[in-house]
Amino acid sequence: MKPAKFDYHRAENLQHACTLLKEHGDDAKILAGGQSLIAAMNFRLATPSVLIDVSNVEQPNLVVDEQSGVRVKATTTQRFAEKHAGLRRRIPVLVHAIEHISHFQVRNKGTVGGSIAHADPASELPAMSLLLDAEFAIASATNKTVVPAEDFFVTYMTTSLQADEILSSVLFREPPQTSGWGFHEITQRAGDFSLAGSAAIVDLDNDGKCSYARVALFGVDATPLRAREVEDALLGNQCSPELIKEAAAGVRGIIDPETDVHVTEEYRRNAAEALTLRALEDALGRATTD
Amino acid sequence: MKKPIVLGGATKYIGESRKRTEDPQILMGQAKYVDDIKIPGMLEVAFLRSTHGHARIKSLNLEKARQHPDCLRIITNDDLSIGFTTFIPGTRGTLKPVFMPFIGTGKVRFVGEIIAAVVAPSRYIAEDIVELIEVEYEPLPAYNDVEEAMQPDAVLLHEELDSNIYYSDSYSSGDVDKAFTEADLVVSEKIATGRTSAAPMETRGVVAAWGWDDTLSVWSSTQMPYFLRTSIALHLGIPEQIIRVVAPTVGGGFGQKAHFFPEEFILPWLAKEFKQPVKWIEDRREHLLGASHAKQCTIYMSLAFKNDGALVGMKIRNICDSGAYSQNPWSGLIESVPANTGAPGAFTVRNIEFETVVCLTNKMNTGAYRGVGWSAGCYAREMVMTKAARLLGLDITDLYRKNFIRADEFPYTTATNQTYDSGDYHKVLDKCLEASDYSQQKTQPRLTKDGKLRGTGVSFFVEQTNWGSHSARESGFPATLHDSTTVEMDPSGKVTVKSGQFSHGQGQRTTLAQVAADVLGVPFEDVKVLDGDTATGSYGMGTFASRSAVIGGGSVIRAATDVREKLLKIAAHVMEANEADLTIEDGEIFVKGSRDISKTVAEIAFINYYDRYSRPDEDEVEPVLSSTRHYDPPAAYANGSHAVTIELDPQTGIIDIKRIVAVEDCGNMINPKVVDGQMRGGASQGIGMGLMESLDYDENGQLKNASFMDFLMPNAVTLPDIECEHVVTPSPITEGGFKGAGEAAMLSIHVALSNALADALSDHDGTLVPLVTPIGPQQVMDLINNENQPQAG
Amino acid sequence: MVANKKITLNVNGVAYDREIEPRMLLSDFIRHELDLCGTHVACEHGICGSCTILMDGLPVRSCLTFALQAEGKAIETVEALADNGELNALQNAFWENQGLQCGFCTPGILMSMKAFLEENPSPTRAEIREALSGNLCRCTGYHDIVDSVVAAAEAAVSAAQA
Repeated sequence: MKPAKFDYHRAENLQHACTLLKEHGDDAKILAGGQSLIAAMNFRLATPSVLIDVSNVEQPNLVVDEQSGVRVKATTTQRFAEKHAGLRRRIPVLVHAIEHISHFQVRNKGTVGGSIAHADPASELPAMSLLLDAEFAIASATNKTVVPAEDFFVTYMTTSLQADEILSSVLFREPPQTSGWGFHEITQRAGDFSLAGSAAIVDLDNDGKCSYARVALFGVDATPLRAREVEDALLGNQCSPELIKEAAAGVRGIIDPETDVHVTEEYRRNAAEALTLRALEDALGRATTD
Repeated sequence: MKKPIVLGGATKYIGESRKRTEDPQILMGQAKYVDDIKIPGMLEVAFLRSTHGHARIKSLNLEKARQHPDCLRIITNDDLSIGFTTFIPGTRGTLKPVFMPFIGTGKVRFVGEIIAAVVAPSRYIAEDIVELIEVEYEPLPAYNDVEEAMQPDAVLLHEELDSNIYYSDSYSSGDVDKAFTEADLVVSEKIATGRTSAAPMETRGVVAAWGWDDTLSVWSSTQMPYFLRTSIALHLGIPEQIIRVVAPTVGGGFGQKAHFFPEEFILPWLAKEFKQPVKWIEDRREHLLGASHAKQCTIYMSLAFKNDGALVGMKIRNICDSGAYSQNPWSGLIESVPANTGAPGAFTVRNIEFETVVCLTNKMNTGAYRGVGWSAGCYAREMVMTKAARLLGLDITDLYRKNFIRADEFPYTTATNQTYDSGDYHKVLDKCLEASDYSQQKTQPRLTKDGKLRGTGVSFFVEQTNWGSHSARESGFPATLHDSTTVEMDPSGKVTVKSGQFSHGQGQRTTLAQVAADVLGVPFEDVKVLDGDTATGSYGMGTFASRSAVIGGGSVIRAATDVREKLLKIAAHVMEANEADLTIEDGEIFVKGSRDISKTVAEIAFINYYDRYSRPDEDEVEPVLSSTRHYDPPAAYANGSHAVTIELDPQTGIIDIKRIVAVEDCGNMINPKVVDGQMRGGASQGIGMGLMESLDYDENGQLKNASFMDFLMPNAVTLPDIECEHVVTPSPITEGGFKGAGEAAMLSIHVALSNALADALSDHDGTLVPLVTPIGPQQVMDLINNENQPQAG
Repeated sequence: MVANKKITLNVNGVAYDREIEPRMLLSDFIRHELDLCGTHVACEHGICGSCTILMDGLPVRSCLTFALQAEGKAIETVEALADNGELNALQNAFWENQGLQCGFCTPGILMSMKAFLEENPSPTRAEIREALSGNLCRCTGYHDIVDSVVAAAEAAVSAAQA
């Protein structure tokens, strides 16, 4: 299992990477941590003719506090982000999710931006970007844009990134300070891609009514999904056990899971509901005890 | 049968958990595996493999590939048209030979079958060239389900056979009909065990080179270097004495590398034909597609019981899914034949009938993997017994005790004519139940406070060990196996053991040295074991089937005893003492009871070689301090028990294994730590087989999970600590009282796991018993959803 | 035609300058260009961990790294652990506790555990299992590996106290 031939360019900086990408166009792929791309290339499932390596791009201030959240440069390794005390303090659910990505050896190379741009629907970070109302800073040789996470994931492993564009950083919004979070996924073995996953953030007002809700699902559709139906069922209501159970059941109608070698579509549908309920229970537990 | 030798000296080393001699080199990264073998000018091979499960090859166009500037050679069946057939002669039942070409031609029968071999300067380039070969296929119906492939109107995989079934046999003993008629309870189930792979961490690999002196050297990641040498010679048509086969350090085998594979012929053939050294290292995808699979059987099991739990009758139909060919040498018989002959297990049941069927499908061949046949056979019997116990209102352990062969009944010949040598099954079971707090577990509530379901399961097994000619015959394969060891003492008094066994992780370089050192009375450090190289070893079948401690250890005992006796004769002459009064300890020869008069082993050895005038006359004692001895012992039957405690998430079907207890009686242990290692490793593979490993083909014969991403093996979080306990009942019929220990858990722990699942679900429905392996989350939910889901919380 | 590219890196304290094909995996570079065969390859898709090496001190999969990505890096492989044939404390703990059988996965496990113990010098068995979960072993059932890591941690703690 050896990769096919390709030409290799090491980008000196982001601008250089954009220039190279413009030059090589559709034939080129950005190589960041390579933890998904190189595996696919070893199987010759991916055969780009040019790789633009951004893994050595010098980027000071990989993780930066901003007013509304934390900005993480795309080439930040997952392990670096996971160990970042500020990120852990401000957005604990994100760090918790990152700890579920594969194994620490993979997170030592795998990057935050790489995982999001790869857009595997079963992986954690794309779903986290939806959960945390993330904004993606996107660069090309000629342009810089900002794309909200909800507009980014198009279909299975496909994003709205154009051939000459690079994801340069991600702004993860900090949830309300008094909110709580929950995160659950099913794997057959620790570190594997999830069979299904769900994460939630809930905040309550002084009357104990739900004032903020975010629910994101992964591994149960062609893209990660934000479950607005579940959120809407909670918002403005007292979150009784019956209500959250009913709200969690709402995920069944909005997902379109597939049957694969491990489990059936029906399994994933049931799992998504069960995990969403657990994520909501945890979130409520954390919200009220804070 | 000659009586076993009683060991002459003190057993200082046998029974000691010594650190392994082989480990420092491995730990430093210095041990050489086959991919570490480098020869100047070596070229690399990549194979074009079929992408269709069953298809005619309409055309094979090599033109573009040959135009690649670095293409050195492409070999197809036009160049190399021979192959091999089923190896085992004289098997009971109807066995039809199935021909497998080394390189496929005409039609391909599984995804992964070799169609062409490309030789290039590097593996990278060889893979580039493989991609340029154009194959046009005409697809044929592919069989995934063995019972469809068995139908009379099924498309034939091999047109020269009149059916896809190539082996069938039936057997009956006692009065089965009467037993079933008079039974109080008959339970009948269909059991399907999953297809898995031994998947050692090191894949297969071969290096072959033709020498300047017209000799052929072959390095292969094999468990059977001598058998491979014989097989290469037979098919290459050159004398065996000019072939040297080396199994360098081998990264695990588990039975899978105890075969003769096409790649192990193609590489030597290339080296001989073109006089260039060549290497092929299997990649993981190739491995999962093209290295033998195992364990997939469909079993119809009916058991007849009396109300008191007595098992009075068994009716079995065991169908082995053999894959596309009959894997050399063991063939698809490797599953269903030993499964059926071993069907009585630990029990006294006398009325048994079985039918054995081996049928072809469009998958990789079925071959040997730790616990051959018994993994499936024991699972089927035990799951039906578990269900019966529930219906009878008994615990499975009640059924065990009711039906066990008692300790005073050995030797005991089963209804399938296997003679068990020794054991104390009640004691072993009791030890396991005690160690696992079984009775306490059974009284605890199933539902935990966090909504999980707790369950504990137990299992018991009897394992036929030390596969030699006798075990093979008792198992239903009348194969001849030959094993010998040479023990040699040099002038410095140091000892070399040249073994036909071969350690690929089991540590025989340590354990066989422990045996030799004890027999000879020399320090452990003075013994070196050579194995894995036909130029320096002694002819033997290698290491598989729980055989090396018994056969390797036994032949060391025999050969070392010869050398000891010779040494004592010489010493008696030199020391002017009576031979019978002398003994050897710690490398010193002295009169028993007094060390005042003594000589070192080194002194006597040196005199033997270099002091013609001090040693006895050569007509009296031939001055050769070496002996080669053959050993082909009768089968010894090990036994043991497992207990597994789980917590089940009833909403996701995820099983969390909380505890594993393993108890084994493998007779006298040479190195208990090594035995523990075998018990733990087997437990891990058994849990893998029971919980998550499954090679799944689709209806077109595509393997859906040919990667480690989707073919799941246990990792360190899957498993808890594995607590080991021992009961020692020495075998009265083997040298040293040893019994084999290698495969045990693979007969048993998946049973305990499934019983734990049944226990966890027992409040919900006492008769829910899993009937498939593996029991992954999907299978668990399927089992639960046959009924209402238990309410958590 | 793709031109070879230059690479300069340091492996086990030795500086190397080579020209290689861009597609060469770091695992193959270490094993076949530098002849450091202690690093093993068992899946080439990043699951099994046999090929784990340290890159600037961090354990990574060398099969999921192109050699060119190691430009300017310091690489450490299993060959660096022992000192002139003397096993280091971690290796010795594996020897004492039979933390290996066939040994094919062992170099990757040693490199992972070296980094893990530096970060967590007194781990629980559960933490060790979590840290080991990215390295597959088919022989041992992991129990004896966990024992080995516990022993290595204890040895390091008592050495520090002595």
